[in-house]
Amino acid sequence: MVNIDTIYQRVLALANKEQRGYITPQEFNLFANQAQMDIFEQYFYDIKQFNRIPGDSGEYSDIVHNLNEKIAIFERRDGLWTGGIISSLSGDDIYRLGTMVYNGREIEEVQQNEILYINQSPLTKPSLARPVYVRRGENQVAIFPNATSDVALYNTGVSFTFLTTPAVARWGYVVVNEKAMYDPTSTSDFELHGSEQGELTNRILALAGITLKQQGLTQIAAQMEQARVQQEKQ
Amino acid sequence: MGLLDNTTQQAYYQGNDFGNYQFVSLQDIINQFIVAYVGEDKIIPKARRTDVAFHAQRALAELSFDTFKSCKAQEITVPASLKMTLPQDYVNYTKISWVDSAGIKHLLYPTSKTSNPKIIPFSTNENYSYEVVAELTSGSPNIQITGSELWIEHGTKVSGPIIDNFSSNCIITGSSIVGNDTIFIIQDGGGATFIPTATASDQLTFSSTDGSIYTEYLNGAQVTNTGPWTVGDNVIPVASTSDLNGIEVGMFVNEGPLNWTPDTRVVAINGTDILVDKTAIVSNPTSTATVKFISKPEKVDESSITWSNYKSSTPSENQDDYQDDTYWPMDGSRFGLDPQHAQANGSFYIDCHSGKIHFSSNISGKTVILDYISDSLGTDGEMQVHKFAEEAMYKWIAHAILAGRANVPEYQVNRFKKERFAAIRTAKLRLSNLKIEELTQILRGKSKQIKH
Repeated sequence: MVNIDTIYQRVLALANKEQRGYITPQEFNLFANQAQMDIFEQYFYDIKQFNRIPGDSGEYSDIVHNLNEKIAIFERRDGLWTGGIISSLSGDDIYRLGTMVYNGREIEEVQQNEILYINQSPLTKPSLARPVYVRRGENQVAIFPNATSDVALYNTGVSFTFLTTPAVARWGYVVVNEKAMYDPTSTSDFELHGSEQGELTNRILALAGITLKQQGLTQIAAQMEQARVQQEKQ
Repeated sequence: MGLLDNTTQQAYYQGNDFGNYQFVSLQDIINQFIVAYVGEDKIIPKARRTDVAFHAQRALAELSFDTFKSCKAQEITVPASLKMTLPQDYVNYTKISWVDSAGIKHLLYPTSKTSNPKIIPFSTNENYSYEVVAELTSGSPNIQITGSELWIEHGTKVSGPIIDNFSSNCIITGSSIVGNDTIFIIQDGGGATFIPTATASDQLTFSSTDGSIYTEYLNGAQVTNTGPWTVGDNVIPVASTSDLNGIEVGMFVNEGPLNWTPDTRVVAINGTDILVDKTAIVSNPTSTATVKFISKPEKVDESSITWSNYKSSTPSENQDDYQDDTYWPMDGSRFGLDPQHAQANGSFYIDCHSGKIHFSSNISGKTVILDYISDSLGTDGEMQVHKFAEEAMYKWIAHAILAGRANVPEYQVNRFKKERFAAIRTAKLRLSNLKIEELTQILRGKSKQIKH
C-alpha cells in the first residue's frame, strides 16, 4: 500500500509549482491511476524478462520472487463457476484468470481450436480426473467433459484463482477558500507494493510534464525511471 | 513425509488393496513429473498437462508391452464350437495353454497352416455375384426356387432380365420355405408387387442393400403362432414353446424393412417370449402370424468352410493308435519331421476378423488359460506403474516432450534418450525378478546329462 498524499506532495514538490505550473487534484488522480495500471501491467513482462537470467537464492534479492510478491497483493482465491460464467464471491474484478480447480485437480486451459482434436483422441480426451477448459468470452468458460451430469458437479465443485485489478486510487479533497485541502476520509491509496513509491512518482511526473508542456520535466522523470530500471536489470 | 503416513497398519490389513504399495498411480506420476521437471529454471520450462498425460499414457503402454510383468490371464473351458472370444483389453498373447487335472499348464502352439477366410459368393459364370434360377408363374406373385432351401434376407435387391422390365429397383419383401422349395415375393421402390405376365424362368442376381456381395444363408427358422405385438415392442410372443422350433439366440428377424427394424437380433428366449434388440415397425393384433428368422453368420461369427474342415478333422496331435508310447504313426520314419508340428498338446490360431481364438478339436472341453498383455490403459484402476519402473516413466516422458519440441538443442534430446534407455534397462532388469538362490537351484541341474 502506498499513501497517495505522500506521492501527491512529492509530485508537486518536484514539479516546482511556482515555475512550471500547478497539477490539480483532478489531473493528479487521472495520472495516478494510469501510472498504477502501467506499473501493474509491467510486472508480467518483467517476470518474463527476469526468468531469462539465473535467479538468486538470497532471501530478498531474487527479482522474480520480488515481482511475484508484488503481484500476490492482487491474487484472489474466491472464484466461482456457475453454468459457464465465472465470477468472484467478493465481487472483485477478474483481471487475469489463474488456476481453475475441480475436486483438487487443476483444470487446464486449452485453445478453442485444440478442443476438437483433444476431445476426439482417446489418450487426451478430458475426464473428471483430467478436465480442461476453453475461454468463450470475457467471463465465460466452458469446462470439458461437458455432459449434463458433469456440469452439475462443476457448479458446486469448481473454484479458481485470479488477479484482480488494483483499486482506483484517489486523492480526496475538500475545497476551502478556493483551495483543495486533503481529505483522508474520501481518499483511496495506491494498492501497489510499498516499494513502488519512486516508480509512481516518476511516472506521474512524466505524465504531468506532458500536460504542463514542460518537456524538461518529462525528460527528467524519464531519466530517473531509466536509471532505476538500469539498476534493477543490470 | 512418509508415504505410508496416511494409512495405518490396521486399515491396510482390514482392507482389500493388498500389495499396492509396490505401485504408483499414473496420476501421481503425472503430478510428480510436472512438479519436478516442468517450470522455470528446469529442463522443460513449460508443458501442458494434457501433453504430459498423453506421453505418460504412451509410456505406460510401451512399457507394458516389453518391460512390465504380465499379470493378465483368463481361464475358460473350450466349448464345442472350439472358439474363445478375445478379452476386452487384449493386445497380444504371451502364452496359451490347457490345464490338466494336476493344474499343470501344457503349452498350445499356433498353427499357420489354416485360417478362417471370409466367404465370398462366386457364381458359376465366374462372376462375384449371387445368382439363382427362379420360376415365374403367370398371374402369381410367388416366385419359386425349386429344390433349394434358401433363407433369403428381406430387403435384398433383385435383378433379372424379366424383372428389370418391371422395375430396376426391386427388393424381396417376403419369403418362406415350402418343402424343399423357396418362395418369395418382390416389390418395387413404390411398394407395387411384381406379378409376372407369363410363366418363365429368370436368371436372378441378388445383391445386398449396402452394396456388398450377397451371402447365401443356410440356416433360419419360421416361427408360427406369434403375436400379438404393437409398434415399439421388442418382444415376439409365441403360443407355446413347441412353436420355437429351430430358433436360436443370435438369429435375426427376417421381416425387414417393412415390418421390423432391419438387423433386429434375437437376444434371448424367455419361455414363450422371444426378446429382440430392436422394435416392431408395424403392429400385429393376431396371435397366428408367422415370423421368419435368419442366421447371418458373418454378422455374428464367420464360419468358413476352411474352419469347418479344420474343426471337424482329427488334428495331427491326436493321430495315434495308442498301441505304444509314441504319438506319431510313422515311427522310425521321422526324417524330415517339422518340429512345429511335433507336439501333442494342441494348436490354435487367432482370427483377427472375428476376434476369436480357434482351437484344434483335441482341446474341446479342456480348461484353457490365455495369458496375455494389455496396454494398461483399459481402466483407471490399472493405470499404475511398478516402483521399479517409476524412473523409467519420468525419463520416457521427458524425452518424448523434448524430442517433440522445436528449438531444443539436440544434445539435450540425446541426453534424455540415453537416460531413458538406461532407465528402461534398469527397470527391465529389476522386474525380471532374478534371485540368486533361485538361479542357483536351477543351475544345480547342469551336471545332468539328459535334460528336457
